[in-house]
Amino acid sequence: MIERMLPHIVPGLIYGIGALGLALTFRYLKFPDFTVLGSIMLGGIVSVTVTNQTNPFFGIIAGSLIGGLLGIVTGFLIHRLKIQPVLAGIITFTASYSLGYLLAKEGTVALQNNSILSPTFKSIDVVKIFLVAATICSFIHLLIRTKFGSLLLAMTADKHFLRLRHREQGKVFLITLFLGNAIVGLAGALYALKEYAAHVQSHMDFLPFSLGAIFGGNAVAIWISRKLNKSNVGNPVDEKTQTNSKYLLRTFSTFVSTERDESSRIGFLFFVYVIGCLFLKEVSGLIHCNAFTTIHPALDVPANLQYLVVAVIIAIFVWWAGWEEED
Amino acid sequence: MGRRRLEDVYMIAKSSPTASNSDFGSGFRVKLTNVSFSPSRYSYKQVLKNISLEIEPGEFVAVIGSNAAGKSALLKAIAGELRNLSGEVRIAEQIIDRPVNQVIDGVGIVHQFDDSDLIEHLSVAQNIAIRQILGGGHKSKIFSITQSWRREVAQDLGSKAEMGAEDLDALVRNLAGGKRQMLSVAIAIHLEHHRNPCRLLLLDEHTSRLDHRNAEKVMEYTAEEIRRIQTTALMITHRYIDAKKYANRILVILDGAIYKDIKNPKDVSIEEINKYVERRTD
Repeated sequence: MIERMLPHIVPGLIYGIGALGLALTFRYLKFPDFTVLGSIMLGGIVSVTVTNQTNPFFGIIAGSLIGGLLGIVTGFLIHRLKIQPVLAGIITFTASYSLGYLLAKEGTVALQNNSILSPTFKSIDVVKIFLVAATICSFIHLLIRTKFGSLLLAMTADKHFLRLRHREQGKVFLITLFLGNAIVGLAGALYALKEYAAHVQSHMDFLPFSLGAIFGGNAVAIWISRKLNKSNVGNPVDEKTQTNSKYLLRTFSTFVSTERDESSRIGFLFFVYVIGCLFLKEVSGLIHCNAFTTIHPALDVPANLQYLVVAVIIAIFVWWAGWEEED
Repeated sequence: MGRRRLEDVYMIAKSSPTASNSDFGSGFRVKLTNVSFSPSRYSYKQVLKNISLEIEPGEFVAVIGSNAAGKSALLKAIAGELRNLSGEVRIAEQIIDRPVNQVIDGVGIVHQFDDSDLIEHLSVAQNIAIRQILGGGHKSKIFSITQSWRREVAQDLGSKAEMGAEDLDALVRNLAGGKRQMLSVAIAIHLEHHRNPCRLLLLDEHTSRLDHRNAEKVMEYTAEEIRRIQTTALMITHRYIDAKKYANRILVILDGAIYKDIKNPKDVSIEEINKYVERRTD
């Protein structure tokens, strides 16, 4: 079972990195950005193309930039042409397919140069991807504490507030879409470098997986916060009776509690999104290779039902998140 | 039209031959000329009817009237929040054709419903930071909520809004009504402006959702600050006693027009004000 789980860890974590990009737009601009489907696909194709000419480092940068560029196109459609956000994302992602076929004539482009990731499972790859994910989480955590971060947080305000007070909406919209899609482009680049190839018709499962992880992550974060609040670790305690474990829990609660400021908990929240994506990708991958039968014969789910099972899990996540938030 | 900073406006006011000396350090002059407003282009109903009004720098004007008389529309017209407005609104000689914060610095607004003023799911510190950045009250290119910034704000909150440093991390949704309104007023008067207090304060029934004791407390604090910094202020209220006690001019609005302009509120009884509002002639 463990052996069958290993090959899905790196792809799951890479999707998790992509989910961070989507979360940036979904959480603060409050719409699911369909552009990410184009960014992850084109990020992969561009990175492989550039890597073939140069090296993986430039390939990753090029992949991120093309993703960011698609984000700016969507931002322009939304802000300048006043097209509905979801529709603008769909338009950009549809158009990006043509760009993909322009670069990859057969719809596929193979990597002919050395890569930084191995096509088979290697624990060093997990460390590398984990470091990238941790760096992005820390970057977002710090970003929220800056002037731009405050303007980004203000985007979550009521529409009256936005109309009357937020005069930097356009700038924030464009930069956030650029950053979000650049992160997704980076994920696409890493995925392609791991697979040693990039395909135009790929990553259709990225959007539901990452959105599911975001909803599930929110629910888990609220649930943990509530449990911590119930055990009173968030409240000040007498210094003399305070044990090390309680101190650790209190420190942890400052990064988790929903009663704390967004800037305190954002790093943890985004980390949970990565883990959520990894979980969904694992479940999908394990069903695909019939791994659950090794646990119990009754768990024999046909391989072609993998997406149905993941869809059900995502639906449960969404329901749970709604229920936790309402409570 | 580019956004004017406070210093630019002062320079214009200084060089303008029509500007009086009282423009400096006191408050902005507000001038409305033939202002009318209909909710839509095709609507016959006029919410504001040809209003012309001049508010002198440092004047504290209370606006009273029955519901739907057009009080809030008048405030929104001055704040540049209404579309389809005819006529002209000027604040410190600047024409207001967009939300006022996008035209000129130094204007504080407290709305009737605080969803326009505070972001509920963010902390007090985050709300103040956001308003400082959006209100032009923070000039540095890079901004971060540092310990020194927190100390400075906590000190300001303590002295100006009776809030402690411990309130900085509280989420706005968890604040009691009185504290919340006090915070709104403190931000509008002081915290969102760069070191200078505001030059024009617009208050839209800012005590209406508070109990009697808290309403009185917030009103006393507001009036004291207005008096201390000598800002121009326009306050909509249903509490006639506050209008009489604190304002130095009362406007009675009736059917979208100024029905009565009371220049000496101290000499008018509450009964008389009531009569004006209800348009009784007995």
